[in-house]
Amino acid sequence: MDGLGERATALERRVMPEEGLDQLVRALARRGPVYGPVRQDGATVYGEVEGAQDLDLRCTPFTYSPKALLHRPRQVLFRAERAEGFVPREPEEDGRMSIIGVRPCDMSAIAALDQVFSQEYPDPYYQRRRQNALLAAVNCVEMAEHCFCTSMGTGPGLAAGFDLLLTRLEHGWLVEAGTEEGCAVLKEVESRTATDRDLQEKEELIRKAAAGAKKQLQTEGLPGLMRDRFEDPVWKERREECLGCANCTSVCPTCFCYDAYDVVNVKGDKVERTRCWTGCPVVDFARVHGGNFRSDRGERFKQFAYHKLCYWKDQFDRLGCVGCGRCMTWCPAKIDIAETAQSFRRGGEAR
Amino acid sequence: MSRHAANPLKPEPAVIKAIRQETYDTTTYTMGFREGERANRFSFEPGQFNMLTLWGIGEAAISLSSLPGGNGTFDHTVRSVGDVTNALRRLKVGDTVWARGPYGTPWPLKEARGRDLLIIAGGIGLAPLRGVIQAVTSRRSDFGKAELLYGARTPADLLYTTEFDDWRRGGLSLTLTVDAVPEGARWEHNVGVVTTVMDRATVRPGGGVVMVCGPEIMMKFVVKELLARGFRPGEIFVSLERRMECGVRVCGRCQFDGRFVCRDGPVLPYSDIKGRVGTML
Ligand SMILES: Cc1cc2nc3c(=O)[nH]c(=O)nc-3n(C[C@H](O)[C@H](O)[C@H](O)COP(=O)(O)OP(=O)(O)OC[C@H]3O[C@@H](n4cnc5c(N)ncnc54)[C@H](O)[C@@H]3O)c2cc1C
Ligand code: SF4
Ligand code: SF4
Repeated sequence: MDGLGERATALERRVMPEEGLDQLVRALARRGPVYGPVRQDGATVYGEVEGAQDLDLRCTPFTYSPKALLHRPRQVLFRAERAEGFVPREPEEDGRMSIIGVRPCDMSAIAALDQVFSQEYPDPYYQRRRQNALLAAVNCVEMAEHCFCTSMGTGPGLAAGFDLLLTRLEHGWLVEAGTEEGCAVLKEVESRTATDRDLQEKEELIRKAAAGAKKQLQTEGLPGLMRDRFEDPVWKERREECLGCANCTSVCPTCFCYDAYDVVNVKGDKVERTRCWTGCPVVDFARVHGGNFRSDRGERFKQFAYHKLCYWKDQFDRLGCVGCGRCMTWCPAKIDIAETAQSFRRGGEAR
Repeated sequence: MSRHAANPLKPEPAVIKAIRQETYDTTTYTMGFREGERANRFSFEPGQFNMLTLWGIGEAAISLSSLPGGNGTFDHTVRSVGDVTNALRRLKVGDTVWARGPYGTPWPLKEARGRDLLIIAGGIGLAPLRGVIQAVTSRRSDFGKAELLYGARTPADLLYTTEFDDWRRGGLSLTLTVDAVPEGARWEHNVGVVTTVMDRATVRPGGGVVMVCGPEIMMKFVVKELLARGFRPGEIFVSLERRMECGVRVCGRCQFDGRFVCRDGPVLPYSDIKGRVGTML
C-alpha cells in the first residue's frame, strides 16, 4: 500500500541541488513536451513547461489532473472521407511526453484509469498516450484543506509506479528513479548519491505531512454502508444543492465517462468521429429515445457519489476516489461527498 | 477475459443484402461484412448486439435480430426514432453500413435446452428475441414447451407478422395482444397490455426459462406478475436498454449500480438485478 511511501521501490536514489530541478525539466524536454502544474487564471492546471520557473509544485488541488493528458477531454477517434469510401483512419500518434509533478493521489488515479482502459477491449487512445508518458511524481510534504489521501491509502507519499519520484528536502531535491528510463534522465542532471539521512528526512517529512491531514473518510466497509444509506434523507439535501454542472466529474482524476459524436465539414464529405468527457450529473447522461433513466438531478448526483464510493468496488475491486479533494474544492455548491459519507458514521447528521 | 488487440471502436463495412419493411416505422436489414473472414462467417448469439455506424451521423446499438445466416449474413430490425435510425431508412440494397460487434451477453439458449421456454415481448423488444424463436422453431425437439406472448401498441405496430405462420408451424404457441385498436382496424386477438395475457401461458415455475424484452416499465410489471406466479428470480431473464457510446465497458453511459449493461448485459437474470438500484425492475 502507498500512503507513507517509506518503502518506495527505486533503482536509484540521488539528491540534486535546488537548481537541479531546472536541469531535470530540461532533460525531460529533450525527450518531448513536458507537462506540469502551472498557474493560470488563479488556478493551478497542467500546462507545458520549459523550465523549473514555470512549475508550481505546492500541494494545492489543481483543477485538472493528469487525467486530461492521458484520457483527452476531446479526442478524435477516426477521420473518414467520402472520397476514400469512408474507410476510417486513426489520428496520428503523439510522441513521447513527460508529466512532472504528479501527486501520489493522482498516481493512484492513473492506476485506476489503467484498469478502466485495459479491460477486455483495451482502449488504444489511452494506451498509446499512457505508454508514451514518463511520469515524474512528487511526494507531498504538506496537505491542503480538502486532502484525504491518508484515508484512501493513496498519499502523501508514493511507493511505486513512477519513473521518477521527487521529494523536496530542506536543501535540494531527493530524486528516486523507478525505471531504467528514469535512471537515464537522472544521469543528465547534476546530483550526488542519497544518504540514509536524506531518506530519513524524506520519511520524516511525509510522516509530518500525513499528521497534518484535516480531513478523514473511514473506508472500511464503506461500499456496504453506502448501500445501507441509499434512501438516507441526506441525499434529498444534496439533491437540492447540486446544480448538475459536472465540475466534479471533470476535475475528478478517475472519472472516465464520455460522449461520442461525428463532426462533419460543411460539404459533408469529411467526418471526424470524436469523443469528449461527460459526467453523470449532466442532464442527458442517461437519456435514450423515449426517456431518461436519471431525469432526477438528485439521482444523477447520487450516481457520482455512489460510483466513487460504492459501485467502483464491484467493478474494479477498489474505490474510485483517491482522496484528492478536487470535487469538493471546485463544486460551486460546496458539496463534499467524503463528508457526506463520513456523516453516516456519526449517525447521519449532514455536513 | 481474452484481450482484443485491434481498435475496438473501429467499425467494418457491411453490405445490405435485403431490406424488409416491417411496419410504418420499423425495418429489417439483412447484411453481411464486406471483407475478411467475417464476410463468410460472423458468429454471434441471439441477445447480442452490434454498434452500427453511418459516417457523419453517428453510431447506434442495435440487436442482432436473427441467428447467424449460413453465408455470414445477419439481421438488424430497426425502429426509426432519431438521427442514425432514421438515416438508415434511406439506404438501399447494396449500400454500406459500418458495424462492430458482437457485444454483450446472449439469451440463455443453452440453459433452455430440454426445458420449457416462455418468451414475453413488447414492441421492438421482439427483435432481440427473433433469433431465439428461429433457434427453437428450427430445433423444436431440443426444447419443451415454447410459448410467445407478444404485445404491441396497435395492430400496425406488430413486427414479423409475415413469419407468424411459420413460427406456429415450427411449434411455437403465439398469443398476441395490443394496447388499442384504432377504429376500422381488424383485430381478432386480445386487447390490453401484455400482462393481461399472462394467464394464457402454460409454462410453470421450475420447468423452464422465461425471456422478457420490452420497455423497462413493461418488464417491471411482467416480472412482478411472474414472481407472483412463483417464478424464481434466476429463471427470469430480461434484456436492458441503456444509452451506449462504446459497447465495450468504457464510455460509462450504460451503468447502473456496479454493472455495465453493454458487457454485463444486456441480457441479465433477474436475480442479478433484484436488490440493485438503478433500474425500474
Ligand atoms: C443493447 C441495445 C440493443 C438495442 N437494440 C435495438 C434494436 O434491435 N432495434 C432498435 O430499433 N433499437 C434498438 N436499440 C435502441 C437504439 O440503440 C436507439 O434507438 C438508437 O441508439 C437511437 O439512435 P438515434 O441516433 O437514431 O437516436 P438519437 O435520439 O438521435 O440519438 C442520440 C444519442 O442518444 C443515444 N441513444 C438514444 N436512444 C438510445 C437508446 N434507446 N439506447 C441507447 N442509446 C440511445 C444514441 O447513442 C446517440 O448517441 C437498442 C439499444 C441497446 C442499448
Ligand atoms: S456535485 Fe457540485 S460540482 Fe458536481 S454537479 Fe453537483 S454542483 Fe456541480
Ligand atoms: S471523488 Fe472527489 S476527492 Fe475523490 S478522487 Fe474524485 S475528485 Fe478527488
